[in-house]
Amino acid sequence: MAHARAMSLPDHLAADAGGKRRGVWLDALRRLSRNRPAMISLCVLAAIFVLAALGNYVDAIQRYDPAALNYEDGTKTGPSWEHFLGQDHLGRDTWARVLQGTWISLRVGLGVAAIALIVGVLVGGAAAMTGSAGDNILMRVTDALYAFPDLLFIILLRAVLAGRDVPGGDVAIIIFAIAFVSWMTVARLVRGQMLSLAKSDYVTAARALGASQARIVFLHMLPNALGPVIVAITFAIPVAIFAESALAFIGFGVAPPAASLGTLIDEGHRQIIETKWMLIFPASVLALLMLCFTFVGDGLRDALDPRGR
Amino acid sequence: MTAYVIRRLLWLIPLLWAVATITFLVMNLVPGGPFDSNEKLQPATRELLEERYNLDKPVYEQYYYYMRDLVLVDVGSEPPFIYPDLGTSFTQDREVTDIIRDGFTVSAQLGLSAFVFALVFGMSLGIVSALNQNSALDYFGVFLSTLGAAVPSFVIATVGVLVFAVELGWFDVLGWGGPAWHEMWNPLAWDWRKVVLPVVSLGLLPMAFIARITRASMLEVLREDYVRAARSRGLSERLVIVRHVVKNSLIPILTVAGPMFAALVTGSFIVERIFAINGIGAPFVDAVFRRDYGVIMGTTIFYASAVVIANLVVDVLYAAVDPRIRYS
Amino acid sequence: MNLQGRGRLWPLMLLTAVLALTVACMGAQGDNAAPTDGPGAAERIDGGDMVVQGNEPDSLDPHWSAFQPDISLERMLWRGLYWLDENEEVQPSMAAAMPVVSADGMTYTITLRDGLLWSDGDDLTAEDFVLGIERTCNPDNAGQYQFALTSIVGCDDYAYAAEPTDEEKAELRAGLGVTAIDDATVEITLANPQPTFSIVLSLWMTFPVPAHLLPEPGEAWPAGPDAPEALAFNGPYVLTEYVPQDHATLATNPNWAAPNGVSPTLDSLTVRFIDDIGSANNAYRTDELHFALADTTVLSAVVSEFGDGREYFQSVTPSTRGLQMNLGREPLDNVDVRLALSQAIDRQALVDVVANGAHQATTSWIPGFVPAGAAPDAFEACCGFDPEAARQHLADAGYPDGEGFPGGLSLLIGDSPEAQDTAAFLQDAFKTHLNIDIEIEVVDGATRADRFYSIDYDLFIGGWAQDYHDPETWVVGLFETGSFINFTNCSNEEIDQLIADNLSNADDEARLAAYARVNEIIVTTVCGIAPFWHENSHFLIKPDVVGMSENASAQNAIQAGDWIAEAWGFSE
Repeated sequence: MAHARAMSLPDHLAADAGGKRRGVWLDALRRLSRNRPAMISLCVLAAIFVLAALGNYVDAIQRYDPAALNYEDGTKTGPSWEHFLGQDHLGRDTWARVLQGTWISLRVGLGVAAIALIVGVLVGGAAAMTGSAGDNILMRVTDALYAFPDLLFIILLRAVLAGRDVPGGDVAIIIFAIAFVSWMTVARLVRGQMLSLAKSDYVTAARALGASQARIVFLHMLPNALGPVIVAITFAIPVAIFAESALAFIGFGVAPPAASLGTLIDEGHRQIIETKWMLIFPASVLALLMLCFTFVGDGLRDALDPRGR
Repeated sequence: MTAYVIRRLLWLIPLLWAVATITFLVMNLVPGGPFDSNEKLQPATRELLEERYNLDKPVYEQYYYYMRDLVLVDVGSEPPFIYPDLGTSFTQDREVTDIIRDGFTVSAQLGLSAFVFALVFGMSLGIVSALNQNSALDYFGVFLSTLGAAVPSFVIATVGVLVFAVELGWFDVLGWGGPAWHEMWNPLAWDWRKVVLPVVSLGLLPMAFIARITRASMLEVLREDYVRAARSRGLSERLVIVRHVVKNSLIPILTVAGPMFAALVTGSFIVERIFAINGIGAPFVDAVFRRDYGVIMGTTIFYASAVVIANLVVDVLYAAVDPRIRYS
Repeated sequence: MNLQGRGRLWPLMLLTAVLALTVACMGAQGDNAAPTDGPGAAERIDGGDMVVQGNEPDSLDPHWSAFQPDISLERMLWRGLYWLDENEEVQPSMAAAMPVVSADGMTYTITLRDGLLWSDGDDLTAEDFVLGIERTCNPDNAGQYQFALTSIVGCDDYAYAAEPTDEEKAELRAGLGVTAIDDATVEITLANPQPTFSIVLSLWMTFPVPAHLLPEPGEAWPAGPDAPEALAFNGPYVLTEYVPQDHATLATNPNWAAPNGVSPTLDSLTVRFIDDIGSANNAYRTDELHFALADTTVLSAVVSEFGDGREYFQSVTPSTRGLQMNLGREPLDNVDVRLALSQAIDRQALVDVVANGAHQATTSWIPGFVPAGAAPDAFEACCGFDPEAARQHLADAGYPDGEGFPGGLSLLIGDSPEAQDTAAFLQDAFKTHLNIDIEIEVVDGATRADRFYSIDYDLFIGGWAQDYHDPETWVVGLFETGSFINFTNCSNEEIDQLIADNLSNADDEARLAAYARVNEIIVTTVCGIAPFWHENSHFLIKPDVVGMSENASAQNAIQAGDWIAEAWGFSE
């Protein structure tokens, strides 16, 4: 059905992206390293990642057990030397909680993005590769799954899986539930890109040179389709982290005493009238993560564009 | 084209069947039943209730009854004239069709408004950013759209309410201020005090998303040969941008806009909950928590139809926008 | 009302739980005179449109309802033969006088007042009240509070008839111990004497049915937007508009037969359905609501903003929450382990930290203000917070300093922030004081209820709110061995005997003493629950609102007698 006919483009030489693949990626890396916002963001992300990872395993950095209720010292306090980011409503140390929350949220965001990317690219690529019949089947399956109400189906899945023994526990359940409704966007995007790339001259040229369909799709078309996919994945991370925070909002996030950034923000926004600190810190970390992922995705997109600037 | 659309519409049937079946199975995997909340019922009372709603039957029989009722549509006097029998809410004593119709009217307005907001502001931001790539204006646009996507909607809503409703008194806290459908075009019919905050809270994230996609796709298109060709033919920059660039950048935007529209229209339960808006999001979430099977099924099937139709519209628009794609 | 399974989203639970009532009529405690009609109160004016916060009811059918928002709204629209006054005393409402009870305590004869009318002008007769009780006992209606009428002859037989034919149903209905002797006289026959039966006649499941509109007991009760047209009312208000998920609007019932001379003065009363308590408070701040439940998450800020006794009020709710234990699971079958857990809970700190001081820390199951109840500190010595004693109990149980304590003991909770915070607090307390680790399992409301009812849990945070002001609603069915609502495997011969002996005991003093003893056994042996707080309700009421008055006994905000919505009005 979605049979596309080539339109004649202005003649020009087809750039064979395949032949100089390695050079192109090196070029991309060079271009990325020249993109200042992207590089700064990458450094910040790396720093957050390392800090969160260390913070969850090194006591000297974590300083307090995030689950310990030190309400005798005070509750809903602001930043101090004893408690860098203050204490929450139960007297828990916000610094330790934010480190823990960042680590959990990063796992959720990256886990969902990874699954969405892999499944989405495979399905989208396969659809574009298998021609009309395969495309039809795969896209109709994608359509069927796409038709589910995202957030609501996540909640339904979460309810089904809640309390079941799953390796990885709550976090794995949440990643699975969110990823289940996330990969279709990538699949459609890949396939949409492929459809319009299929008509481009270099693909026609590659085909004329006798390249196999798989080679054309995954070697020639996919790298050229990556730009929008990377942008979409950049957004899949905050979307996943947000989806988790929506679960936290209705009390369906990770089980206490663990907390994600979403849980912390949810707790914070309920306390806003009495203390703003409980909202400000986790929300700032979340916003920082979003900004960084965006700039990095942006930089990657610019860098990966083979036509350069 | 007509044949294509008809074929796609026929696809709706197996698709909805698949959606209904999957939801039915998943739903029945959730522990607990509709009569578990609130009060422990006398065993006999419980049996009576379960019998009334066919819950005493094996799952496959329940499935059969549900599917049978779904196929035997009722004919009504009001549009859309054909009503599938979606059963009764187990916990609310109302027809599921009524619950969806009432909720959808509100959610659709809220979603539509948020969608228009996101589209207008998102595309404007994206276009301005792309045309001034790497300038201060670009960074400002990117920053603004990223920030919009960086804070969860319930925080935006809470802070928005505290600042603009409680402190400044510009807006109301409760409810939705949309007019009757036939007055949608009349700005005076809207109760703006009740409209602005929910729409912005709901629309900020998609706005940021659309801005990002627009910018990325514009930059892509700006480098296309036909744009260079158009420029070299001496067309005015304005004409090039409008006729070639914006139009061709629409494709990736369309990919996300279709489902985004459907998602917004079927309601964000968070925004509906915070502003106490009687849309369709809250009944669904409530239904999941209370195992109100009728509402879960009905809403999912309804939503699925909405998404599928939105996707069809997007695909048709694809063809309209991208001359390289033809459906036959 | 069982609080175990409040199963909706948390904000709703917060509401139904803590307080609930839509509209509980509450208000000033003690001498907070501002919003009440006390001396010096501002002059009441006629008219006005009042908007109060509420939750959406599941149903408007008083003969089916068990959900607090339902009952609250129903209480504004219909009234029974009797009502509970501000002192929790039974008073005639639609009845002309207190029932005439036969010498054996089995037959109640009740005469209606003259000239009673439905809101649509039809006569309100004895038949309407008979039909109300028939509806609750009717198997097709499956009333959730049918069990409250179990003393009435034939009610259980009718309700639990196994697949009856229409003839059998008619026969069973005719066999019910409730008849209209004439238009103005109802006669009720009991299978066994029930000292508290006249209280039951004031509750929602005995409200009348407009028989001229709904002649059959099995008929579906109108719901949703159609309800205002399809129903008639005999309470102080009539329903004029119902918008699902949004609001219900009420107007004065022109045919309201006020038993106490109090009739509504409002032009309209709107119950706005709001699930998010933070939003409700903001709406109160922007004057969109005249009444809201105070957000206890930020209680001290709310109190200082609105002023204790100025716009902010609190009242005691007849409910208790605690740590419930499944005695069928090891090591909870050991009373020393249970006492160790109970004594490791610093209840005052729990209330202060988790609940922001919103509740009353306690060790007693039956609250002190309920007959046969005990003061919050009555069992402090044996069962209250004492880390030393807790460790000793744990050592006595064979786990000195937590050594050898079985791992994997899990605390099952719902998804409300308060439950999650409580769980975090308990987990920390058991770790700190007993050196034992417990796990927290968060599930949604329906799963939580399902697991609790099938007794598939170790530890559980639950509780109870009374159905009426008598200790029997605190113990009967909950603690007897094998009872169908005993979900903790509590089994104590003395409790079983005391309850069996006193259910129909006409000697009130002996009856209350027995229930006091039951309370003591429950607490001292932690027979299923270690109570930690009695709930309080917290309200915001605009200064120009009058008539939201407190019970003289300050006893409850969630019982029928307390909802005197007809008294609500505005002052200058």
